[in-house]
Amino acid sequence: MSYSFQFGEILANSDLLLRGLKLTILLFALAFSGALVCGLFIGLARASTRRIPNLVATAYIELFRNTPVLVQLIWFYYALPALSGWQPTAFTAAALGLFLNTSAYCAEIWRAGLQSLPAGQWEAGRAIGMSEWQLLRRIVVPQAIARMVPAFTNRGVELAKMTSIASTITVQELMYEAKMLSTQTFLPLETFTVVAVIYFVLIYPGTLAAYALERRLNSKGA
Amino acid sequence: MADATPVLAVEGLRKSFGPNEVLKGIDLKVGAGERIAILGSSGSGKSTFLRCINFMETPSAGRIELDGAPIGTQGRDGVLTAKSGELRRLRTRVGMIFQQFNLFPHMTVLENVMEGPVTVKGMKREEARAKAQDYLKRVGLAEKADQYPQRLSGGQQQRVAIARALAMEPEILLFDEPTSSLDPELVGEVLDVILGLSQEGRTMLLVTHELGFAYHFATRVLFLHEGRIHEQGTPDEVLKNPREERTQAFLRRFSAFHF
Repeated sequence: MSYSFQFGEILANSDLLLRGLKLTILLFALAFSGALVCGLFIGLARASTRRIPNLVATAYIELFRNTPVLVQLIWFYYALPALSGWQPTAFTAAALGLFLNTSAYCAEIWRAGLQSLPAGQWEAGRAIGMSEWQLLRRIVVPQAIARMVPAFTNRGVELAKMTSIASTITVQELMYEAKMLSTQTFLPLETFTVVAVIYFVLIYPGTLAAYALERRLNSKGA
Repeated sequence: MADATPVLAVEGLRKSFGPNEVLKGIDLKVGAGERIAILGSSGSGKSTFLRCINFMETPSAGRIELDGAPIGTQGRDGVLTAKSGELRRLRTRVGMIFQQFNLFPHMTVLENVMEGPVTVKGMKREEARAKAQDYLKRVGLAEKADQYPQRLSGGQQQRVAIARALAMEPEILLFDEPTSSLDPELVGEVLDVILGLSQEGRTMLLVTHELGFAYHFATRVLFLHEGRIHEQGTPDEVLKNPREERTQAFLRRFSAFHF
């Protein structure tokens, strides 16, 4: 054991990492909030008995779940402009790819959550004249949400780490800055150790918050 | 009721599930204040009939009128289609009570009763609260207002469900086997509440297996058999002196174990 860690130089350049961290957080926030909402609508289509919406939603979900995220990001950054003539920035391409990918997973969580509710709940809401939107907002989502929090937490944790893949299409987020720093300093071990700590400090409080939310929702009467 | 417009008129109502035709043409006119008990063995279509009235099931053919105004429009194939807005208005006018109560478990008893008036009718919360408390008092559960449904017995839950339906101030109430999932000792309290409503002159249709209750409750009894109204009349006519062989056989099965 002759290797001695030299964290000093990495910490001296921590402003680079923190700059990257901002983009990481922004990527995560955009993709996750979008996916939670969009997932509901895809999930509704997936749970629908109507053929066309069901087919489209199923195709979407399977496409995004069964191909690597890396390929999806590369595709949005390099192939989409060639096909559509619209060149997104690296950040936009990454945000779009992560958002669409996570939406597919969230849709499945929503579908399972929506279908876990007894049919009688939907019927009772309809019987007092609720619209489908009122039913979702007042009856279905409040009951399903407690059951879905653990699955959404998993997805969020997964997504937070997945943002690092954006570095491969030159988004200057945390992992990109880390790669730069490690080649500049020739201290990859130190750099990536620090980066791991940063990811952990970023993600773990979110997990704790999700546990707290889960406890609160479960203790509420229902 | 001869010349008055019926509150509810059903004509040639049919309903199929896939190849299985459950309702084979039902005609019925219900006058204001009538109380109709619907009897029949399982599979006779009585619950399906009730659920077609408020479009919980979409009729396959036929015509349904509320106060003389048809619900939905009939396509060339005879199928009724109703826009979602029209369905919502229909359902605020025709309340339903389910066999399984279907209270909202994430809301207190009071919130359950307030939900329709506030969310659907846009009533102010304070007004809805006062109304809800009134209706809970009517079903004898004022003191349970702040409890969650799962803390209540089945009989109490069903009474809350009745209060929830009443809070919408519907013109017609539909009861779909309201006591069938209750322990025998809890049936009475629910039936008492329903009998109380009948003294207010409400128009009600009730699917039930409680023949004794049907006798006291109804102004008219329908006996459904294989998707048609097989026999109808006053409780005395249908329950005490049925004309039809099928009705007689059905009633005999219920009295087989009398002692």
